[in-house]
Amino acid sequence: MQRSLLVSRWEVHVTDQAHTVEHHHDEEGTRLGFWLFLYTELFLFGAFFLVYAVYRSAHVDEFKIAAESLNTTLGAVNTIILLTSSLTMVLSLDALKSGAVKLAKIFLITTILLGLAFLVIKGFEWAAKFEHHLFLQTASGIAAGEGSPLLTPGPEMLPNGQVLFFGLYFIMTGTHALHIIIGGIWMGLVYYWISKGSITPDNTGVLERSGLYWHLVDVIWIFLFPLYYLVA
Amino acid sequence: MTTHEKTFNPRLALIIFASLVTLTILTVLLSGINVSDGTAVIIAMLVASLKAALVLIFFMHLNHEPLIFKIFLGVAFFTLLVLFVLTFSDYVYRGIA
Repeated sequence: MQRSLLVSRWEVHVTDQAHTVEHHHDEEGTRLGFWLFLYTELFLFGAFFLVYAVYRSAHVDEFKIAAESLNTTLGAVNTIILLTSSLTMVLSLDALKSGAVKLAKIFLITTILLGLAFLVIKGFEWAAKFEHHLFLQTASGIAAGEGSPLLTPGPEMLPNGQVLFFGLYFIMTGTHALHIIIGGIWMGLVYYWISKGSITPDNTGVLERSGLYWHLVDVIWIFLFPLYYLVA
Repeated sequence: MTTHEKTFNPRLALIIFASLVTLTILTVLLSGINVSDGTAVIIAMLVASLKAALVLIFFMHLNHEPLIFKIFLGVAFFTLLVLFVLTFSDYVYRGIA
């Protein structure tokens, strides 16, 4: 009974395939699947935020002192840059859906450029930290004597809370910057596919999903910004 | 080329963007006021949550998605909340945090 049911279903499936000329594509299901992927990203960063919350509550004063060394103006400018890039991403999708392909491409390239601007500013911030002997250390680097005197046990070492703060700062903003880079490469590909004609006003799924990814990266920054730059 | 139901109208996106920028300026200004650390973090997180909600609902088009998308989001955030509550219940009990 069970077996015959399976077989008949399978036959129906085969007949369907043989008679369907157009490839079936479930746009809504694809989007739901992409949201599931975004939740894995939420938990990747969620774990970081949890570690931050625990260590911050254990070292409130040290975290505030360390946070004061971060440049609030640069952080705020980067926040505005990312928000603007989210806007241009939305406008790019809207433009493409309305058939304005050229406008969509202009908005998309603007989004990529804003992402680049974010990375450049982030780069300057990191460089300023490196100059002050604050960077991510590796165990092998420390063993080779290349560790920072501020972050390795010794007379100059910062209090534990500050060492934890800077470690988390580099890990969290670094992981976030990596997502900006991935998003930028993806949008570059989308730009190419629009130019080639494989993404069209009737087939916007890939642009839509790269937009969802970009907005999620923006949402993560929305939380990173106050936690690192404001509550000092 | 087929006709498209949507016409390009950036009005809503611009309104949301303006709100996001306003909230960013607000949160920077609020960080200047002198309150206890706990209060400052709560205020900053409330503003950030509001901004995140605007992005999720309007920029990520959750307002146009079926109910199942919203249920998924709720489950994800609830699970994250459980992680935080369980972890902190342990740390607070031990007097570490």
